[in-house]
Amino acid sequence: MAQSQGWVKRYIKAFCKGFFVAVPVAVTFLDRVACVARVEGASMQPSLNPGGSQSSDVVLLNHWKVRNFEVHRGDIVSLVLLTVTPSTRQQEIGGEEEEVEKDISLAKSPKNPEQKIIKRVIALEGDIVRTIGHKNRYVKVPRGHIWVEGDHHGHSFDSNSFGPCHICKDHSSHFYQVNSQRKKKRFRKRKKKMLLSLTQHYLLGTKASILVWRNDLKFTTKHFNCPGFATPGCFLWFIVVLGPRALRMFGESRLMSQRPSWQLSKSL
Amino acid sequence: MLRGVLGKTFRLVGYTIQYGCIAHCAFEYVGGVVMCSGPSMEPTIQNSDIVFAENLSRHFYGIQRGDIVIAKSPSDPKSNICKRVIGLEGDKILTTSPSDFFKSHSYVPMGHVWLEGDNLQNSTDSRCYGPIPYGLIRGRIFFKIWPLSDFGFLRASPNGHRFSDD
Repeated sequence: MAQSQGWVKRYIKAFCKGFFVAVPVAVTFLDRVACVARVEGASMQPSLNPGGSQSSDVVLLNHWKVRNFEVHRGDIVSLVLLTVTPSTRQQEIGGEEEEVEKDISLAKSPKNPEQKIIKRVIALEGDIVRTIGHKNRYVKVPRGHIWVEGDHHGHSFDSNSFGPCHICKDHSSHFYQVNSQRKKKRFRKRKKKMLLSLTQHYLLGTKASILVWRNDLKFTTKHFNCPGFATPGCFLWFIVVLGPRALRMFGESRLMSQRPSWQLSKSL
Repeated sequence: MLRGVLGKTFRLVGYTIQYGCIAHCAFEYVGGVVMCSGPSMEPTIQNSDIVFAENLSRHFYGIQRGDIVIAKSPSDPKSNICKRVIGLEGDKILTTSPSDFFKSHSYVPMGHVWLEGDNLQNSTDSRCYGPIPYGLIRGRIFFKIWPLSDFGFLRASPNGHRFSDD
């Protein structure tokens, strides 16, 4: 009896010790270094989720890369929007986001308070953007903001709906460079096809918003200090299942960090 | 000898990482000590005051009108601002000075809050850059610990007329 009691005590002690080591480290890692997410919806086709509802892509969200708020035009980033203004919901098509209930007081949490969306950065602060479906035809991105758009124009809830986005919204936007992570076989097969379709999509210039004038002033470095709301389960999954694969993917998935071709061409 | 030193070094590094992560979690999710600078919140918070800030009310949507909050500056994500919440989403805000004859109001959009400093003459706040998204708020200040002459909970706003109650 005494032995089993001693065993229980030791177990509790070991559990507490491990808990206070594992949980903070896991949470810090998921906030500051990287975490994994599944992409749903069609707003980033054909880059992400080309298969539609049959297969959702799993992506690695790289927090470490943007710890200084250094996003570049053409990066794919993940944002979290807190609530949605009613006038902009008309632009939602294709089931990308769930409808968010309109709540007057924030004491009642909205139906889906932190909706994560994945979009591509089109313009940084100071740039002028030609918009699609926005109330102003040309918008100058104010200081501290960026302009994001989904690759699938018309089926995307992006800056054309809600305007320029704050570069840092604690719990509202998390800016990470997304390294796309696919099953190795399918990735290799599809890489070539995807590159081709990306190039076509942007070079054709149809329904693509093009930078009118780029502000080439030098930007000061900004430090990224925005935490996410991390789950330890995500961390375990990452380490056990995807850890080795992710390490290999870092090398293979430079595709997503390349800038699209439209940016390199100077034509308007 | 070398093995002993290496072992001790690794243990030290391990402890540093562990305590660093605990500190990170505490500062991000629970709260911490903050030093405020600037004249925009006088007389409630003077320059170089040290206050306690807690982050729990942000996560549980407990920020109310009249709270002093710390938020990320909307124009410069690297710096923080410390202002009082005047209006939550849906509130009607008086955008012109109260002494003006023609008053104009605006409504705070969904997901945003309206912040103003207590020192209205010397504060760049939402009257300058508009309502800021709720997600930029990082924490709520509720207790002042330095200077000791001003130790204790924070006073209510000296600008009570700014709070609309409709």
